[in-house]
Amino acid sequence: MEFFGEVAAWFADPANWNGPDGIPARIGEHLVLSIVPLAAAVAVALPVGAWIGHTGRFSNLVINIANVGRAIPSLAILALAAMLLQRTIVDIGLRDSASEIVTMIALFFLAIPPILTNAYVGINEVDDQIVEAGRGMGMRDLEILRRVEIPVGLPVILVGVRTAAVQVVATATLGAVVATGGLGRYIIDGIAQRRFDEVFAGALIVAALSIATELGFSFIERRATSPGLRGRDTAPRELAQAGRPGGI
Amino acid sequence: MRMHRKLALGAATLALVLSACAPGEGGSSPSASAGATGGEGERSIVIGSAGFYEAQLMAEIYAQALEANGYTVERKLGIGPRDTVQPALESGDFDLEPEYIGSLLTYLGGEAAGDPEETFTNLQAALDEVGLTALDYAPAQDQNAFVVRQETASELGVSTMSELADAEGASDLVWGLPPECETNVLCSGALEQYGFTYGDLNIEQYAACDAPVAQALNDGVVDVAELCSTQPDIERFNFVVLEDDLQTQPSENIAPIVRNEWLDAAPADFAEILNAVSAAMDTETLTSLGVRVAVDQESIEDVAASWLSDNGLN
Amino acid sequence: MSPPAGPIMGAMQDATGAVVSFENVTKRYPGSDSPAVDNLSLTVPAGEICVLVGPSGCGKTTSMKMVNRLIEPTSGRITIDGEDVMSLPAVELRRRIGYVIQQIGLFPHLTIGDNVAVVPKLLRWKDQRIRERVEELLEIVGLDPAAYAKRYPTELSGGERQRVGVARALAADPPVMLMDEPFGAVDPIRRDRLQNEFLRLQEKVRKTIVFVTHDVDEAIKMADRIAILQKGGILAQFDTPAAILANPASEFVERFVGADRGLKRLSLGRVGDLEMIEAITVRAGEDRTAIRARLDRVDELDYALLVDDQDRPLGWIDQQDLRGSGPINPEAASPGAPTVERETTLRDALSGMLGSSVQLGVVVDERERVLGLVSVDAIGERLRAPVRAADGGLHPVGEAAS
Repeated sequence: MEFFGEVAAWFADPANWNGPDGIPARIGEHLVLSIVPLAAAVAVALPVGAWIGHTGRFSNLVINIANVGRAIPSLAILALAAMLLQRTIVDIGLRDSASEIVTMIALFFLAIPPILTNAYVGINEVDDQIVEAGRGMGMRDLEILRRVEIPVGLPVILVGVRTAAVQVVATATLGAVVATGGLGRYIIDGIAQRRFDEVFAGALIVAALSIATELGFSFIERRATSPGLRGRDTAPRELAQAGRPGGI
Repeated sequence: MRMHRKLALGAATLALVLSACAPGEGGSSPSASAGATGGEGERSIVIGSAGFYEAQLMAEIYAQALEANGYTVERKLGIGPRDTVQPALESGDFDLEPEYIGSLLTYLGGEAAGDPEETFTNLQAALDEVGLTALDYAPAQDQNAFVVRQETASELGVSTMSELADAEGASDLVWGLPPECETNVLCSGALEQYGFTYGDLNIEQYAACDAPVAQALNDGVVDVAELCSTQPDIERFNFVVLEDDLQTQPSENIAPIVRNEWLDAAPADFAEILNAVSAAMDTETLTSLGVRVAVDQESIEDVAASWLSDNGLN
Repeated sequence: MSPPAGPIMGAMQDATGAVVSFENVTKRYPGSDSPAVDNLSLTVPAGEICVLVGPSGCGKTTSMKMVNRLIEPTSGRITIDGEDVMSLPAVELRRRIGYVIQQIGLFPHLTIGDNVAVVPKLLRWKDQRIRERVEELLEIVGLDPAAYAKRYPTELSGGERQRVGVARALAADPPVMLMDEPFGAVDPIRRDRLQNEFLRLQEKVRKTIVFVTHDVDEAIKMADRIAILQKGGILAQFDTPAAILANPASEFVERFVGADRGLKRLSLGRVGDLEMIEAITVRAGEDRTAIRARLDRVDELDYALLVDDQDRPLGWIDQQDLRGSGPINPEAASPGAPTVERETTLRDALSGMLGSSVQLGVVVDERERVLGLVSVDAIGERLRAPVRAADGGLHPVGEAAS
C-alpha cells in the first residue's frame, strides 16, 4: 500500500511533468519511436500482403517467414539490428540518432508479421464469388483489389495493423536499453537506480498508452469498416411486400 | 563489489543480449551436503563457487591445480550468489572458493579501497573473525573500467584516465554510461576526480558491463564506455581498458578464500600451489579465458586444463 | 458515351439484344485429355433466352463464361452481332455484358445503390446519370429506391438480393446478359415468383440472355431455346422447349429430360393462356345476403373470395359461412388454394391446384391483386387445344414445333 502511495506521489510531483525527462516529453519521444516504424511497416507489408492475397502466389513462403519472424523475441531483433546496422548508421553520419534508428528498424521488423499476415488473410478470405462477380463486370485486377478485396477484407487487415501498433508501442520501451528516450527510460533507469515507484509509474504509462492505441485503432476500424460488413444487422429482413408464401 | 553490475540488475531482462558479462548473480541452490573434512596430510578438499562463469572457471583452475598435485577434489561449483555461497563456506559445506577482494570486504562490512594491498589487509582482518583466510591475490581483477576503441586510444595517445582527461578533443567524446552513474560516487565521482564535469559530458545511457554498450562502443555510437575489466567484449572488439591510475575503483583482485579449520591441517604444499596459480593470472589472461568460455563456448574444464598446462602448473 | 465502335457497342445504344453466336468453339484445359467444350456451334437470336442445361461436367458454365472471356476458347470464335469477342479488350467487353452469378455476388460493403452503380462507375458515367439510372433500375425490379438504395446486401432477403443482382447486370443496358443459375439460391416458392418476374422484365427489355441451369424444369420454363449439353461438352440438342419435349434428338436427351416428358409438356403452357373465371371478391364487413345473391348468379362458383383492401386474397368464404344475415366474419375465411401468376406454367399451377381442396387457382398480378380464377377443368380443356409455344407459334400439345 505504501508503495502505491509512492507511485501516486511520483505522478503528483510537478518535476515529473516538466523538462526533457518529464512525462509529456517522454510520451512524445515514445510516440515518434512508435509511429515511424509502424507507418513504414504499413507502407511495406500492406501492399505486399494484399498482393499475395490477391494473386495467391508466394503465400506459403511469406506466411512462413512471417511466422518465424513472430517467433523471434523482440529483444533478439533489437540486438540483431544493433549488431548488423548500427555501424552503417554511424558511418553515414547519423550517429546522434543511431539508437533511435536501430530501435525503429527493430520495431519495423516486429510490426511486419501481423500486418503482412492479416493483409494476406483479409484479402485471401474474400469470397471467390464476389471476386468473380467483379471480374465478370469488367474490373481490372487493381480495381478488384481496390474496390472489392481491400474494402471487404478491411476489418481483418485493420486488426493486423492494430495488433502491430499495440505491440510496437509496448515494445518501444526496449529502446531504452540501447539509449533511446521514450517511456522505457523510466523503467530502465528506475531499475538501475532502484527507484521502483518510477519503474511502476513508467509501466503504468506504457500500459495506458498501449490501451489508448488499442482503443484508437478499434475506433478507426469501426469508422473505416462498411456498415454492410459489421457483425450486427446481418439478419436478413424481409422488406418487400411480396413476402407471403405462394398460397392462401 | 561491482556495484554497477548489481544495480544493472534490471538489465537482467536483457539476458539475451548479454554476451555473458562478467560475474552476475544467480545460480543453483546451496548444497545440502555435510561439511568437508580436512587434516594433516589428508589431500581431500571440497571446492565451491558462485554461479557465474568467471567464478566457476577460477574454482575449476584451483581444483585441477590441486588434483595435479595429488589432491582429491570434490566440486560444488555454481552454488549461487554471494549471500548464499559465503554462509555455506563459513558453515563448512566446502573448504575453498575464489572471491573478489573488494566485493567480499564490502559484504563483510568493510570498506574497499582503490589500493589492492590496503583492501587485502582489511579483508584478511575481517575474514579472521569468521574463521577464514585469503591466500595471495592475483593481479587479475574484474572491476568497472572506462574503455575506448583502439583507434581512439592511439589518436588521442592515451592509456590512462588521467591522460584522457588531459587529451585535446576529450570534450567531444560521447560517453556510454549507466543511468545511475550520476548518483554513484564510483562512477560520476570517479570521473570528477579525473577532472571531468559530469554535467558537461555528452552521455548516451547504457547499462554498464552489458552487450549493448559494448556494441555501441564498437559501432562508434559512443567513444568511451563503462565495462567490466574482464568482459569478453573487450578482447573480442580489441578495446583498450584505460588504467584507473588514481585508483578510484575498489580493488577487485581474485583470491582463494579458505576455511582456517582446513588450512590449519593442510599439507605443506597447499598454499604454494594456489599462490602459484594466482601469480600467473592477470586481467588480460582472465579476459581471454572468459572469451573462450563465454564466446567460444569451450568447456570450463578444457579451458582450465589448457591454461594450467601452458603455465606448467599441472 | 463515345460513338459506336462496332456492333457490340452499337447494339448497346438501342438497348435490346444482339445475336450471340458460337462458331466451332472448343475449350481444352491443360492437362485434361477430353475437351470441356467440344466444337460448339449455336446461334442465339437477338432478344431470346437461351438456356444451357446438362449434367455437371457438361461444359455449360464454361461455354457461358467464354462469352465474356472469363474463360478463353482454345479454338473457334464467339461473336456478338458478328463482332468477335476477342477483338475488344476483355474488361471493355465485360462492362458491356450483364453478368449474374449463382450466389448473386453482391458486394457486401456497398449499398444496394452502389452495387447497381458499379458498372456505370467503371464506365465513368456522370454522377447525376448514375443516380437516375439506379433509381430507374430499382423500380424496374420492383424495389422502392427510397427504401432500398441505402441498405446493405445483408439486410435483404434472398429474393431481394436476386433482384438487385439483375438490376446490377442491367445497369449499363447491355445487349447481352449471362446468368449462371441465378435462382439457385432461392427457395422453390420464391423461385417461381422471381422467374415470373424476370420473364415479365424480359418482355420489356428484350435482352439476349445466355442462362445456365442444371434444372430441366427451369430450362423449359425460362427458355426460348434450350441447348442440352452432355459430358465432354458435346451439344446434344439445340431447339425450342416444345420441340425438345416432342422429339428428343437422342437417347441421352430423352433420359435427361425425363420419363415424364408428357407431363413436362404442361410446362409449355402458361396460366395466362387459360380462360379465367371471374372471382366473386368480397371484403370484410360486406353483407351476407348480398354476397349470396352475387354467388347465385354464377353457376360454376360455390365460393366467394375474401380479399383485403389492396385486393389481395385472404381466403375462401363458403355457403356455410354465408348463412343468416349481417356482415361476414373475416375469421371464417378458410385458406386452401394456390396463388398463381400469368407466367406460372400450367404444370406448376396444376400441381398446386390438385393439392388443394378447392381445386381452383387464384391468379394474381405482380402486386398480388386478384385477377381471376383458373380451374383444373380449364387446364384439361387446354390440353386438348393448341398451346402457345415458346417461339410464339401455336402448336398442338404433343406435336413438334417444325
